[in-house]
Amino acid sequence: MAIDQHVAGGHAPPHAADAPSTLTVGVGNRKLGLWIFLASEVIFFTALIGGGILLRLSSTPGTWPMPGEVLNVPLTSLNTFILIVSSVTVVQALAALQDNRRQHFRMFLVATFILGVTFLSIQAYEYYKLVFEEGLMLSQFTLHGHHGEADVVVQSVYGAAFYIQTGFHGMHVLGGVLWLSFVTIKAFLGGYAPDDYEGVEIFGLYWHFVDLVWILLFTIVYLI
Amino acid sequence: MQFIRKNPYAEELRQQQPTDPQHTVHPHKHPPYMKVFLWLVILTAIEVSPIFSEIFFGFSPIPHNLLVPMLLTIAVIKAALVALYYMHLLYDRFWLGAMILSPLAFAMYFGLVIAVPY
Repeated sequence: MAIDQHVAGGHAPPHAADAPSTLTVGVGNRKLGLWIFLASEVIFFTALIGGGILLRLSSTPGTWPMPGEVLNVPLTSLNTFILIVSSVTVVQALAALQDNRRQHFRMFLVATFILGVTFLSIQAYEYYKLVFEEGLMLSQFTLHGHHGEADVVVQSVYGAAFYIQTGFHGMHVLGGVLWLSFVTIKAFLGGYAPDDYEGVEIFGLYWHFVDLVWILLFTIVYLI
Repeated sequence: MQFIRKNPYAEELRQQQPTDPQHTVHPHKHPPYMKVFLWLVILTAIEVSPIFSEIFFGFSPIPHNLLVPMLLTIAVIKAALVALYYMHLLYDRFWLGAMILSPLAFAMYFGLVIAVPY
């Protein structure tokens, strides 16, 4: 607090508790902390995605299915669209709060929550179908025969790579939805203000990061 | 005598502090969120169209070896749009972007080292 006062010109600003906590770096402490956390997440996801690529490159030919052969691409494309829309609703919520449009602010938060839950529901449905109908397991997958041909079970780590990458991302969306539920409840209880939006901003940063990772995962896991 | 470094952004921060206890609303100029959204949707549509063509019509208009670099390029552009506009990196401190990209550069280097034997 002493440093805050110093940099702000030696006097405590009105609503000092609402203003972003600031040291000498020009970014609020909570925001800086979140960015450092996101930098560690970059390392985590790069390791997972890089591991998946290396497994694919080193796999025996024929043990890695072609795009759309096992996975349901149209359904996941819908999920990608849902996540992109949810990113827009988060930035619109932040913009509405900054413009003091409280009703819109809350409405966009609720919309984001619904979209996040929809994404998770579709992913749960996708997993259910993959495990019980498509036979995609951690160490094998099933290629269904066409025109009366028998199904072929292929031993492969493809399933393990798929579930670890998409599952780890799904857990991040779940974490985001839980965080968002707190933000939304606080918003409905009168929390946040046009000059006190750091809590919404840092949630948005996390949510966009999760969206950004999905954009890359969708291409690498589903499309190529 | 105090040895606390003077914050180069102090003036800017002071201007950001509310002066009116009634939460005066300063008009914010927002980034072009909807325009970026439109681009994300268009790029996603371009991205999925070859595989949709293959699933529904049985043929892909682009050979797979050309498709991979094209899809990766589009994915990186989409990710950059989200980071620059929605995560405000275009408007925020430069070093925040540098901080988030530095581990990526290291990861790519290590990935390359591991990938070389293959």
